Amino acid sequence: MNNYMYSSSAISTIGNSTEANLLQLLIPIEKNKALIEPAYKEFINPMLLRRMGKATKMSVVCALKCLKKVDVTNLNAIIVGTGLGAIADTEKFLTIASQQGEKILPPTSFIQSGHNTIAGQIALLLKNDSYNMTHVQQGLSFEYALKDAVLSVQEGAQLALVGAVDEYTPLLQNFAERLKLEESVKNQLLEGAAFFTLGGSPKKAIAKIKAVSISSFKSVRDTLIKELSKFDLRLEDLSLGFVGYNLAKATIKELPFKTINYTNYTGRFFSSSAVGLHLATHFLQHAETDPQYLAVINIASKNKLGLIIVERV
Amino acid sequence: MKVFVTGLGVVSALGVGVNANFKALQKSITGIGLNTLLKGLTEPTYVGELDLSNQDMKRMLGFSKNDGIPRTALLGMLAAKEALGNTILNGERSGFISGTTVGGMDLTEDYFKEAFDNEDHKKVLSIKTHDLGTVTNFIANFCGNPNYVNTISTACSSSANSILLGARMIRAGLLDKVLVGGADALSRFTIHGFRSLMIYDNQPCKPFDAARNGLNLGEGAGYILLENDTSISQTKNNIYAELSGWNNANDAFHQTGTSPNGDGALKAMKGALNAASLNPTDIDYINAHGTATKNNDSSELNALAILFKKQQIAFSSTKSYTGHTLGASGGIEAVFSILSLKNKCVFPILNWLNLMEQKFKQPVTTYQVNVKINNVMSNSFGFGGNSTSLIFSKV
Repeated sequence: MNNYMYSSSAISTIGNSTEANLLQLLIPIEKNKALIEPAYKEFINPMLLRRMGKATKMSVVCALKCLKKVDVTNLNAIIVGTGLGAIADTEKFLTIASQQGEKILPPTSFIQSGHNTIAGQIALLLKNDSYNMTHVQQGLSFEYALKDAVLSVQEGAQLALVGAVDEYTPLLQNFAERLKLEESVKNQLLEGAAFFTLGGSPKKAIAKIKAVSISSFKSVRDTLIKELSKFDLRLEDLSLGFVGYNLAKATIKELPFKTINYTNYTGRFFSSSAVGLHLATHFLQHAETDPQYLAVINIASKNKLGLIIVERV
Repeated sequence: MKVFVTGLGVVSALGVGVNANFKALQKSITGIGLNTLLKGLTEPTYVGELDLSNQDMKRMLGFSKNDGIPRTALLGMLAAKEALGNTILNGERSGFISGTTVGGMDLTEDYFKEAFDNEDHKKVLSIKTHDLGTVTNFIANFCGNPNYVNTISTACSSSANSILLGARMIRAGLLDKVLVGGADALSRFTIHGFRSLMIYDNQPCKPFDAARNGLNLGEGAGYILLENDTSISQTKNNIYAELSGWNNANDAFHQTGTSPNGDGALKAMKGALNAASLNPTDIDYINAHGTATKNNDSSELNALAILFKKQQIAFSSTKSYTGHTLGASGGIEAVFSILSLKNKCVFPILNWLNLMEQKFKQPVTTYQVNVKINNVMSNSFGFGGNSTSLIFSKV
């Protein structure tokens, strides 16, 4: 069974640009941390928007933009990955609760703090009663969500919406400093969201998801060879790799193809590989050369690796 | 490909282990009482609390007292250990999927209350175990080294969904065995949260009763081991039940409330029946979601009435024993559902006096044994409209 992608949308430093030369326009995160954001109020009623946390707001709008490009009559699955969920609302409710104690507290930040508020809110706005799932597994949250979407399509879902999000807060930066995380992690901590639609029909597809895998690794090269072989592919079949780092410091220099470190441009957050996939898909659509396969390699932690292979259609 | 249940593990306010829990259910003894271990609440609160401290559990599990492990992970490890028995989860064909909502919140909220302005570097380390994935990793590492390690967080249906996802992975041939379920500890965060929504009962909760006035939170963990034939031929584990049907649907009505007729609940129950190729008349007992909030119980009862019509359907909510254990509830109640199937018994609801405003469908109020039970349905519904129904069948 093939899994095709029909649309892709992101809210991040790289935005949702349709520029063919997007890769040349990328600015290192050290020089620019500003997200390219849409006017949220054009998509969401202002009353509702005020209650939404950043992660929910980004996801909902990103999802709506992604769905604009497709026929949503048979949207059979809404799947979200997030490492920390609505962490700002969690911080807010924790702070109110520790300051005000037992008094009856305003419930908004508690309601918004649930990890599945994001997927639930998308379903609510679309009045969609289908499969609704939220995966929360640190730096692999997006890969697990994507695997679920691929499985849903195999099971017969005509259209699956899948995406990932994480939000930045000053407190997370504070913790990163206090916990003495790697310099590169501290300097690149950021936020973003990306959503995609998948299905089994090749009609109007922009790319094909050839593989999604999660593995333990010692050597990136050896693990890639092993994972690729499961899909009858070799390292030589890949023409470009989009490599992202999560909490890990690892650097890879052992690959026979060109690599682009996307987290240098998107910043680091648990679900950054979703933006990595958005970038890879964009490149595949606009590349002048003719790459057949691209890899999104997510060094999720010092021993876990996520791999997504996108194929040209 | 069939999905079999070959291991059960549970920890709740009723105690540690399947036996302790089963005995309490048989004798209709509740685990709900006023809080003792959970500190920092200014008024006494009815909760389903396990009477073991974190240090007690660390000792039982072989950790040192200084190990920074959240309570959710400790509860989870106790239940996972029982469910696995001698089975070890290793390699590419094994998985662990845990449902949770609070994760490491207990250590986080202590940090926020006592240590936020403290520059002591050691104290800030407690924040490292806050995220849900870290808690799942603790339990996964304790179970072996499975390749697929994932966390589902969909509020009160989290662990029902981890069971559903594990079943789908086995059916699709992606895994041979997977430990599924979930864990959640009590926290001030969630107690304050449900109080802020005005749905926390200051008295012991009364699911499906006319005078129900909200939920009591509880804590615990429930895991079941799912295996396919290939795996069972190697592990030689006993089969407790078949997980024959599952479905997840969305109510798409309100962020925290449920639709009057439980549209999501109804769709999930119908979907699970459909997946199991069963009719409503094939269901012998329903372990209902039954949180004792006005909204949930009314919607769920209406959905039951629509699906089961005039049929005398036996149902109860074991949350009157354990409290609402949030992300753990689907796992704990899956274990209870399988106990019902295996022992041909139905656990009665506690604190029930009067029919709800609808004036139909009375829950089971006395312990019944030696009844025909071939199929048990377990419901879990959560915020965000998330609705999941599972069906366990006799093998």
